[in-house]
Amino acid sequence: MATSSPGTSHLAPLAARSDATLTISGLSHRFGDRRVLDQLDCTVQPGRVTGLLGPNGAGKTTLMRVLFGVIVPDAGTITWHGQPVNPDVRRNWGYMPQERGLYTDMRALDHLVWLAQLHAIDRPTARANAERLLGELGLADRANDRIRDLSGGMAQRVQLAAAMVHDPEFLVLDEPFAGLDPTAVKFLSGVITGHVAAGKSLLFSSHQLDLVEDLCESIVMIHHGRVVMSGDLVTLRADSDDRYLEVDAVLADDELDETAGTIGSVTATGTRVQLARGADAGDVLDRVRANHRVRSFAVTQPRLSEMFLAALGDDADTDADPEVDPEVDAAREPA
Amino acid sequence: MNRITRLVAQREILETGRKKAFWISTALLFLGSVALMVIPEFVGGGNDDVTFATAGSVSADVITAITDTAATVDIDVTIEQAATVEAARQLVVDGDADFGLVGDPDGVVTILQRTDEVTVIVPITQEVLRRTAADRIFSTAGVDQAVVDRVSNLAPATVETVDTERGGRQATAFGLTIIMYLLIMLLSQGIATSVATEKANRVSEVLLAVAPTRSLLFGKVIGMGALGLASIFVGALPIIVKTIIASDMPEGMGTTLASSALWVIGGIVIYLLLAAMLGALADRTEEVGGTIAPLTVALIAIYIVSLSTLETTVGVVLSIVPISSPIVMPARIAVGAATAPQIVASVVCLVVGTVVAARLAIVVYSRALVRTGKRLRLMEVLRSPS
Repeated sequence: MATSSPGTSHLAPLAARSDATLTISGLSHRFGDRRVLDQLDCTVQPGRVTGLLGPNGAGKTTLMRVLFGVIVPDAGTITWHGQPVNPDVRRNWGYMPQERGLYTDMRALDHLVWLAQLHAIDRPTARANAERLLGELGLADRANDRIRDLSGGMAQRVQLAAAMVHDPEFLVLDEPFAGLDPTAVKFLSGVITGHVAAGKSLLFSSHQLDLVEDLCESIVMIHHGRVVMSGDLVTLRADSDDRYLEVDAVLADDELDETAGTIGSVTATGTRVQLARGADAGDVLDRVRANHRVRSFAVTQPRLSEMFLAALGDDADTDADPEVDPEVDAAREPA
Repeated sequence: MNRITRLVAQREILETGRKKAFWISTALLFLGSVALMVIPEFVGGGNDDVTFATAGSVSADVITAITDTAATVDIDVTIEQAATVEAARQLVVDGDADFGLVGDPDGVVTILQRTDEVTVIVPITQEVLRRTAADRIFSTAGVDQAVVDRVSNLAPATVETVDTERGGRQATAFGLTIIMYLLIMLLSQGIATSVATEKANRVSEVLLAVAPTRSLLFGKVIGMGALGLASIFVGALPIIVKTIIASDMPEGMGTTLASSALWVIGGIVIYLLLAAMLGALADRTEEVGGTIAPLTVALIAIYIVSLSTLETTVGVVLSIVPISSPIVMPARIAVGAATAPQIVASVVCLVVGTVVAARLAIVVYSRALVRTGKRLRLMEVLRSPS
């Protein structure tokens, strides 16, 4: 399923998915006279990694703050399993903001236990959860260290543990990959996939589209507070005009019909086929192999950043405005 | 107190209790208080010793009378006989003698003192000399010795103190004003810095996602307030112990302290709420001094004005207005200047003021915490949508 905003007419409007745990409808919010969320619709399904993607200032952090009741939106509804979200529902959610979000003077274990207790977890369970998480995150021997004494990477793992210590049904991570080295990215990706593998819901934001494209199963791309593309990533890619099959065989111009694709370029050593929207690359390859010997082939799919720019169309001003409240010149969205 | 408020307050208390700075400041407060109690016992305690350098015609009777009279007020007099009047003067100038007593050939005795400092030995000596001169005149005039003796032995007029508690109450009032001023100033700066740090660290964002704003704010106020009161109690402990052991607590102090409790607690709550609110306006902790300045300036002004206006109309007004009553009303009660209607009005205003401060603080705190990027102004936060 795919959706789009104006400018991406080839995608159907969003309808609430029946299997969605989180459904956001018509969410709008202004800071002064600047609209930061504009009739935003999206869903999050359990058991799938959902990426909230977009450039800096697109409205990602504001959306997450609205989800957690930190900001009250001007309009729109948010439901969880079909019911309006309230503080009791949010108590079963976990949130990791992009910037710190920890008392640096506190010891890691104490901090996690305290946060779990805020989520209405009893102290013995909170302590057990915290110790287990610290162990899983490789911080068992640093449990009694003050957070300010930990390295940046360790502190970020504690931050992740803080969002997960109450075993939330829904985990929301704001720019979790920002500033991480490749090893840390791999580690965090493992944590994310592990969470959804348990059938739970997860939404994370990122402005580094290409960095996270292998992790996302569903995406919600936003720009200027509006959804420009959303849905299952495999389906979205299949619907793209920007997919190519390259084979080391020379094809005739009329060899493929329009349901398969069109011949893009032919050289002495091979052919580049622009796949039709929705066409199965494997089927097309089989058709080519029926008439030619193919020893080498490749399927090129659009990167997320290319899909994002394609979705914007004429609206593709790459200089996204910072998310600034003009009234107080604040409430900016962190990079 | 709900669960989250209690958890927030507990965290404030436990984490602050783990900081060396808290224990150092509390220990300094305790040691300072101990010093205040102990040092006077060693410095200037016990009998005073006074040395007189005498020269010229000063009779033995006069010296004996001075020595005996001084002894009744615990002053030991030592006499050092100088060869000449000038020598006696020099002893006083050099500090070898505290006073000089020099007589001229006509029997007129002059008291020499190094500075114009007023001490009790001078009027004692003057009285002895006056009495001796009077005896001589009576004798010369042929007055019966029995009459002379009766005149000499006339007891001074009895002095009756009609308000025995006033001294203690005034001391208590003075002490309460200073303590409240310092306590509120320290706690206000502490909570404002704490709130600004949480905002800068984005801790507040995590907490707001899981806890109601009022629980976070009230928990912080309760935790910080409890720590402040605990510090003051530790600081006051030596004074309390000494007054209990020595049984020399000034009269009226107990009732004054008890009746002041409401304003002490109310004052701490109001100021901590407002300080937390103003702390949330800062974007960086370095800006806290600026955002909290209106409160600290008001506090300093109230303290200074209250020192000289306790029993005036200005004092009455200050003791009723909620922002100043916690500093002024306990002191006015202590000196007995507050009337029952004024006390009732002050209590009502304090309660209303606390509720208003709490509502205002919640609104500003919740809006300002999520607005980052620059230092905020109070009015623009109040005008902005929630």
